[in-house]
Amino acid sequence: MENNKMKNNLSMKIENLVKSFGEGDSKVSVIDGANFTLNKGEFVGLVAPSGAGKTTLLMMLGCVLEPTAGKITIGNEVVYDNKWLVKDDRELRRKKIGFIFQAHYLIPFLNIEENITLLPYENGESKEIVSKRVKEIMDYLDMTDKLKNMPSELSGGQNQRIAIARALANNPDIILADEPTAALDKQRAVSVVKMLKNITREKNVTIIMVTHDDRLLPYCDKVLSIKDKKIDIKENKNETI
Amino acid sequence: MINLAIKDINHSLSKFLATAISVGILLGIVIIMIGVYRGMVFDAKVLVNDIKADIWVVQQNTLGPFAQTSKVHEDLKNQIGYQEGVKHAEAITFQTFQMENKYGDFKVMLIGYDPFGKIQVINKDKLVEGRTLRKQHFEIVVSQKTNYKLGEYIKLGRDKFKVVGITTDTVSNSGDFLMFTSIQDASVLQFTYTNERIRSDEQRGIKGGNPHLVNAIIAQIKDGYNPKDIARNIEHTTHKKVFTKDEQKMLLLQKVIKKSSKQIGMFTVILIIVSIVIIALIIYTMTLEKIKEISILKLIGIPNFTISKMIIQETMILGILAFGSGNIFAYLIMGGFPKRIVLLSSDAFSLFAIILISSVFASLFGIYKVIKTDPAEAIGG
Repeated sequence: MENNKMKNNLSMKIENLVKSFGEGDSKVSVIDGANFTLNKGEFVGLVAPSGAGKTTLLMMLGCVLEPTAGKITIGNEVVYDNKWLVKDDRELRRKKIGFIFQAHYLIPFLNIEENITLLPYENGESKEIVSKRVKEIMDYLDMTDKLKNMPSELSGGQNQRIAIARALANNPDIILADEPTAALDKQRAVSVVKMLKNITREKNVTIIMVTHDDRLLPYCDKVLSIKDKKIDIKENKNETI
Repeated sequence: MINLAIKDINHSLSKFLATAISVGILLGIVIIMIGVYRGMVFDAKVLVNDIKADIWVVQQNTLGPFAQTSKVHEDLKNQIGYQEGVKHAEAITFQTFQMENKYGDFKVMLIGYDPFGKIQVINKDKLVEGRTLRKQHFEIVVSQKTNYKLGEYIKLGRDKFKVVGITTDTVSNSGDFLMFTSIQDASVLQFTYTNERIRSDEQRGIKGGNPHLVNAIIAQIKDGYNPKDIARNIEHTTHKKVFTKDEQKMLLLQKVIKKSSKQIGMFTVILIIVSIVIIALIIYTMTLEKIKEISILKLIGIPNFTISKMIIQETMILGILAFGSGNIFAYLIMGGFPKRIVLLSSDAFSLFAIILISSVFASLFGIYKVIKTDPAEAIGG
């Protein structure tokens, strides 16, 4: 019973994950035997010096980059076990993973509503369901009045919030955020991080956020750090929010 | 569902339209080239169609009078006229020369025919002013494009000719404007030399030209007779070459304009290929401009099919707009060409199909780029 509960609460499990580039003498190992488990609704920070493999790890977790070895489980589905077990990695991303980037990277020729609804429509969801969800997300982000605007008409901070809305629009299990506050000042960065943390609680979604800013780490439930190709995981006991 | 192609086009509409119009101008030239070819084919047949003759009797072993020079005696018309199955037979001459008037210089073909004959040489449907010839001398009917006015006098050789009729849409197989005089006047013009030339010829022992020579005898066939049979019979009895109307038209198409049409055909094919290459390059460049967006779309999970569909749709819309603007451009400029341009809707539809199918192939470069784009490019700035 307890085991089932744990299983239902599982968001992502990483076992013996290895990534190296090249072969023979030119072989470069980036991640060597990563093991960690993330639960639903957790806000996770990922820190490491530049070039330590943050983006590589993020790409593997997002099923964009194939690991060299190991096992990745998302929810209850084993997606990689020394080889990809999913037929369509893009379908997996479309249905289970949301992405937030350093810059907002909204599609410039789509308005805000279209940027947000693109993925749910691609997933075959009905207009009624999508409209209801978009309204809910936009109300939550206090951006409802911007639905018909183009990305070029909004500020950087507003666009970053829209990028968060896009990441939430397909009801993902996990959101991978690659330095989402890099382009923002401290005040806005804290505001975005608080928002992300609230989202993990209210939407029961796991967010892994890459950051260079140590000041944002107290907001995280867990902090993953890459040291000497190994992943160190620390639970944050201080409940900042 | 969101149509990415329409959204992308709307976002940069003016740029897209400018590109489509530029390609359209190129396609317009292709359309004009096809029109030039069709015009040549039309012109090649227009005179033979206008002259209501069933058979053409010309000099033996020649392809006259258009594909090769032909000279026969005028009185041959009597011999032809007595052949079984022949209704009427008349002489006709053709002479091409350069003319000049206050409106400019141009090339004309002067046709000499019997004004009192039974065979219609001037197509009355094309007579827009005045009348056909009613006198044996010094009357002339001219093509509208020569800019001569009704009642105006034209000096040809040593004589002046009064313009009594103006025709439209009448050209020779080479596209030259037509003029019509009596066969007597035409013979004088063709065979009357200057005094200096006559003296020079006499010193060489050459007698003057024979005004009783004509270029061909045209004849109409009685009902119930087959022109081909009559033609073969006349060939057998007169030792002349005889062409039916259809054979004469075929001769014009196969011998007279064959090389020109091939040349234009080659140009057209090259221009179509150039247009397709340009469309492919434009689409490839447009894809490259969107490569960041494409990698983001791929990363967040949008399938290749959806992105490729956007590329194909944009290419097809570009092709359709370019074709439309090309047609408008062609219709706008066709009037400025000195020779006939015939724009057929069947040609336009064929070109449209070629451009549409080629556009889809051209978009393959862009699609290849889409497939090759690494979604990881979106991560890490």
